[in-house]
Amino acid sequence: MIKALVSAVFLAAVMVSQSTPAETNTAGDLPPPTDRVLLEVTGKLVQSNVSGVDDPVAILDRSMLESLGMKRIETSTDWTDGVQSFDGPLVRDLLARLGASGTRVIATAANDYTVEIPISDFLQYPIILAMEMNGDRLTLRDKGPIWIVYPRDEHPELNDPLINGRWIWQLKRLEIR
Amino acid sequence: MKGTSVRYAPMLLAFAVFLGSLGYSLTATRSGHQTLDQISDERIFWSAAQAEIEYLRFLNTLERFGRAEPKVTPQEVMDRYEILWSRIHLFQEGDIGARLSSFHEVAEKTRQLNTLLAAQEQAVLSLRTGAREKAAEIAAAFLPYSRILRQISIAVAADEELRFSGLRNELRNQDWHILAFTLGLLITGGMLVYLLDRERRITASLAARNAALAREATQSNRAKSDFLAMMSHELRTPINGVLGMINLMLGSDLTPKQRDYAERANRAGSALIRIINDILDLTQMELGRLNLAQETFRVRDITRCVTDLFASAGKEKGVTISTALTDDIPARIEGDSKRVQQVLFKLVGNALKFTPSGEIRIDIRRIPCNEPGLRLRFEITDTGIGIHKDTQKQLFEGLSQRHSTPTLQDQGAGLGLAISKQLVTLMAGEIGVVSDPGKGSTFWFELPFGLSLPKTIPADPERVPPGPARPDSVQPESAQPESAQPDSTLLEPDTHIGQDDTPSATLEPKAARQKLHVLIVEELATDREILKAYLERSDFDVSFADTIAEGLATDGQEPYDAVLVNLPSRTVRTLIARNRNNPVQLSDADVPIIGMLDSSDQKLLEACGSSGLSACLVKPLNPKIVTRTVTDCVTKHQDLSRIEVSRSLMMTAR
Repeated sequence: MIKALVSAVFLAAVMVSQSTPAETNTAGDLPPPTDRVLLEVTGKLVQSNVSGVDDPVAILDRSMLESLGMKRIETSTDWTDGVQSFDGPLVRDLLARLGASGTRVIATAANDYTVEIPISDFLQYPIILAMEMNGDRLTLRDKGPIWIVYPRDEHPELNDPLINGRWIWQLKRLEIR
Repeated sequence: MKGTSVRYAPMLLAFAVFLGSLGYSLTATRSGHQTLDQISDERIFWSAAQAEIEYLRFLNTLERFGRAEPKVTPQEVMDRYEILWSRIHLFQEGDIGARLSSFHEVAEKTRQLNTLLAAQEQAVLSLRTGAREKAAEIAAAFLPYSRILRQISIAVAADEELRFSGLRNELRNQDWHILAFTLGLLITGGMLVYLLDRERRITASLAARNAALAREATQSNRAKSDFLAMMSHELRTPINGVLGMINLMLGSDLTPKQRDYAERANRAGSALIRIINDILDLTQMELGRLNLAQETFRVRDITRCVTDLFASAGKEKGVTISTALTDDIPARIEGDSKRVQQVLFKLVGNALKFTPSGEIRIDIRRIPCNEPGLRLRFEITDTGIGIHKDTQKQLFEGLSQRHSTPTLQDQGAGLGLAISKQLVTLMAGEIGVVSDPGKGSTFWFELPFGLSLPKTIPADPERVPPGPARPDSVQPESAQPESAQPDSTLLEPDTHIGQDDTPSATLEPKAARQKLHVLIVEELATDREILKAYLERSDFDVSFADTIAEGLATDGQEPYDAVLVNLPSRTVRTLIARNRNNPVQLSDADVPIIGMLDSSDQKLLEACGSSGLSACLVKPLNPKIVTRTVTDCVTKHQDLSRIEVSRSLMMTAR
């Protein structure tokens, strides 16, 4: 109960602190994508760049995601050999940019595999939407273009079957609930 | 030792099994967790199935593209192809790749799939809208591989089946192991509890048995002391008779030879009764029946008594006896003067015995003490034969500690030192000896005394009226200068017997006015004879009776001037028991009654003191003291013209 409250307050604080510079940078409204859409975000969010639908939908291309600021995680994974270097924006930065509110995210992959991730994960850890591995852009063939990557080596408690299930690759949609 | 290890063996065994069970249970639980981890990490089958699904999706998309469905773009086909490739990649990388590498068949099939994907890459990526034939070609190339993917799935599924069944069995076995060892834990735990409890009970019963044994030992020691006390007491009566008779004999006309024999017999008898008295004293102390008096007295009176007593004996041997008191000792102090005197007597007597010539010095000085009151140190230094160091330790041992090694006591020192030690200890003091064999010994004792408060010091003890008005002031006879004569029993009465052949001569003036008539109530014929002889020698008239009432009831006779009544311990105890809270009243007749006790027991003396008796004598009787007591009692009685319970007149033995 208290934990939930704390995380809610923390979320709100992060939202404010993160969203303010993002909004000023982009003059508030989210611009439409100029390139191939990599990610679609729906659900409880404020920023929307798709018109003609009831619910807010944000669609993002590579440059829009990159403009959130790229972060690097170096970690081992269950699906690769050895330590890899991943680059991509923080999930919480994206959520803040979109003015998202809610407690969980339903992530969907290209093969329609879905997994539910609590938003507290993104607030607690620097989880990224990895778009590059070892300096190369991720393609569909190698689990791209977006792969949710947890800093597993830095936080050993994240090396857990349940958490490993949240490393969704070939990510195409996030629904915020 | 062996018995102990056998006793603890089951406990150690149970403990070992307990620890073993605990350790195994923990290990089993841990390995169970590891098995669970293995199960939860298994996603190989999922990966194989996903690969197969993506393969079918790709073929499906390709077929729809071939039928020229408008929604299906070349991009979609390419995406499906890419996704499929990402799936096949998984068979070669990461945890799943590592796991599948052990499947020889699967690795081979994966290689075939990779080859296929690589071979068709150019064709797929160059697919253009409407290229239906090209799509058909690609589909035709992919179609035969359906079986390979299927076989991978089946192989993985079969392997997982096998592994899961193994894990299940393992877990089930672990369950049994855990159950067995949990039972082991419970049983051995229970055993440990039981064994520990049994141990506790054994210890408790042993402790109880020890306590019982200790009690028994104490009781048997008490029984010994009781027996000794009784025996000594029983011996005293006949010995008193013998001594009395010898004493009578010495008063009669004897040839010098006869007199010599009688005196030797008297000395031997005196020695015997001294030993008996010593034993009695010691047993009384060991039984804890001795009570201390608290009275005001003068230290100098005590020393004078003792030195006077030994003066002639010392002169005979050529030993001088001197006394030195330091100035800081108060004139009067409080304590049990009789006991102090007794200790001093024993030590001086002992010194005299082992000093063939030279001197015996009594030094008394005050020593500093923390407690209220004062502490005196008495030193009796002789120039005698001295005592060897090894013997010194055993000198003061009492009846219960004595062993059979020959000691000074066996050479005739008697029980005097043991008694002294007991008495001094009883008075919260210390006793000891310093000796240089061949040069002499210094026996010393230190005792605490009370300071006599001014109001309790009578200016002149003689002026104080005797009787119930001052029940607590038991002024010892010796405190009065005129009666500095030593107390009868305390100072070994027997030592006088031989010397006082004509004891009554000096007492005559008081009773000379008329012949005093004394009634003797005594059952023992011997004692009657002795008393009669003693009293008649001093010119008393003597009558006998069996009881006081009978004697006093005789009509038409001159009233008696005094009654001497034998009070055996038995009788006195009965009287005390019967009159628990009231003073024992022997008779209400207007005549002084003098009791004769056969024991110097404190309780009996106290009872007699409060019984209305004019005085109390303790057997063996000394002719001088008997006649003097009777004379004194008659005089006092006449002076007061009524019966006074005069404790100051009591010739208490102790």
